[in-house]
Amino acid sequence: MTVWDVMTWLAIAVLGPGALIIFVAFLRDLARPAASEHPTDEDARTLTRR
Amino acid sequence: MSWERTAIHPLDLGIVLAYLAGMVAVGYLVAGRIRRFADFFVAGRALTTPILICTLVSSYYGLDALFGDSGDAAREGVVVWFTYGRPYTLALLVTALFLARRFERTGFLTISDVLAATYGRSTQVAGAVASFLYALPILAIMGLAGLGQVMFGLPLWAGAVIGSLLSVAYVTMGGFWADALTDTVQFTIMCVSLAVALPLILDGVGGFAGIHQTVGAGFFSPVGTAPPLYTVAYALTAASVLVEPLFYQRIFAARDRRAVRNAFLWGLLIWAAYDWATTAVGMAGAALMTTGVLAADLPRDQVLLRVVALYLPVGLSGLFLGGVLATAMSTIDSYLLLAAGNLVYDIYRPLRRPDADDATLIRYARVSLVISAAVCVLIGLYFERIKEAWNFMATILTSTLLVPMGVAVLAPGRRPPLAGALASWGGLAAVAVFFLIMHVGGTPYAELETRRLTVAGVEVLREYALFFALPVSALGWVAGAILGKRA
Repeated sequence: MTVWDVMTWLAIAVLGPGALIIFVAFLRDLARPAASEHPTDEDARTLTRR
Repeated sequence: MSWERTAIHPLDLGIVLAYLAGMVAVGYLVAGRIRRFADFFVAGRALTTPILICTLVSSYYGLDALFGDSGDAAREGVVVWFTYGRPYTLALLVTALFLARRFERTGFLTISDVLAATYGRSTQVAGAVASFLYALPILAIMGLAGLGQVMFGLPLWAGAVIGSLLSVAYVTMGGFWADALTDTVQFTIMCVSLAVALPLILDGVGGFAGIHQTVGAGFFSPVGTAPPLYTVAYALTAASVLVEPLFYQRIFAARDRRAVRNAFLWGLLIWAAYDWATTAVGMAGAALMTTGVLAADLPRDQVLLRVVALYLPVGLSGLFLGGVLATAMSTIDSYLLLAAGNLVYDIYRPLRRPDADDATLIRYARVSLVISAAVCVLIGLYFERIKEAWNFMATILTSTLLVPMGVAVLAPGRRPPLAGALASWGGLAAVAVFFLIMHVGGTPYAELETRRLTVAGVEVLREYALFFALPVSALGWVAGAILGKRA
């Protein structure tokens, strides 16, 4: 097995199972209660109105 | 540019149509969550690590990465992964470890907010103009138009218009929430489809041993055979990562800095894997072109689709085409949203309506989404080659924003407005002049598919724009800082 083959199998592992694990983690987050609002939206308005 | 049509099995077509209907449905379902402009533009700053990974990876990597990188690999080999790609990894690492922390809880919405807080309105608008031009998803539109030609035999302009309308539909309804949620599905499809296709394709060409035997050892040189300055010029475009508006939007949309830092670190891994997969497919395409299985004069940007058509069975072809569509649409929707935000929040609001309420900003942003899509379809039909357009857009962004943003990030606080104005507008003007000179005075350079001009015995390529524009921008900053202090 060459270095190119190793890189290819690593890429397949990241793009296949890796991506699916991340998608499942997203679904778990989605099932939790909604996040609260970020508190500093007004700060940006103040800064950019100078 | 003309793409040859490929026959599509009804099952594959059904998979693609189901995917498109699902995307529009998501936009409709989340539209009710949009109440304030921060909901529309940064999803209420509530994104966690997994959704950030999905939206970072799928939005930043469009068809330029899929078709462009595989096409370049078909011409140049592994240099595409090593020398062109890895400078981006370095820039992304800096972004992950430094920028996420620097902008935690600053309350900014866009990169122009940072410039406004540092230099004032003139630089804010310059940043918005450069960001708008860069954000226009011309590359993805071009690829999508080609895909419409391959799949449905549509003329390029029709594929571009229909693809843009579909992408705009769900973002117009649901803003960044719709964008990020659809990105999760698009991310999964684009990654998994490539992971499934890669071993089948490599097996079909006899693995890397078969490629090596066919195309020779030169394809396996990490530094390639292009002129060194040309290679450096491309590596230098990695600096665009540091001023990438899409990344700033996601930093500002993150729930906290840990979420975005971790997302970038995971993203690094996935981007590197994706790069290698497209490089390997491109090299397989080169072997097939050498042996005559594919036409030797096949346009490089079409290599990946032709290779996939050869080796993927029905059903998997549909999954892969869905992946290609996902790759294009996740980029188009995200960048069109950015472009619309630039027009409304960064240009219209400070110049015409500083007191505009959220409802007005959201309404105008929705109209701007459609306008931005129309503009980029028109520009997209002008450029013929994907990497050519990427170099042009990345150069505009980097030369306008790198110097003023670099100071804003490294040394926060108020700076002379003239310094920001001269650095940003000077950089933008320098790029415009450079490209105009190359367009009018340059001659075609067929081997690298670019233009060149000989000045005082020195050969200048179109890709060298940053060597010219960045010093102009830096000098502009210094001059503006000196003159601004005196005033």
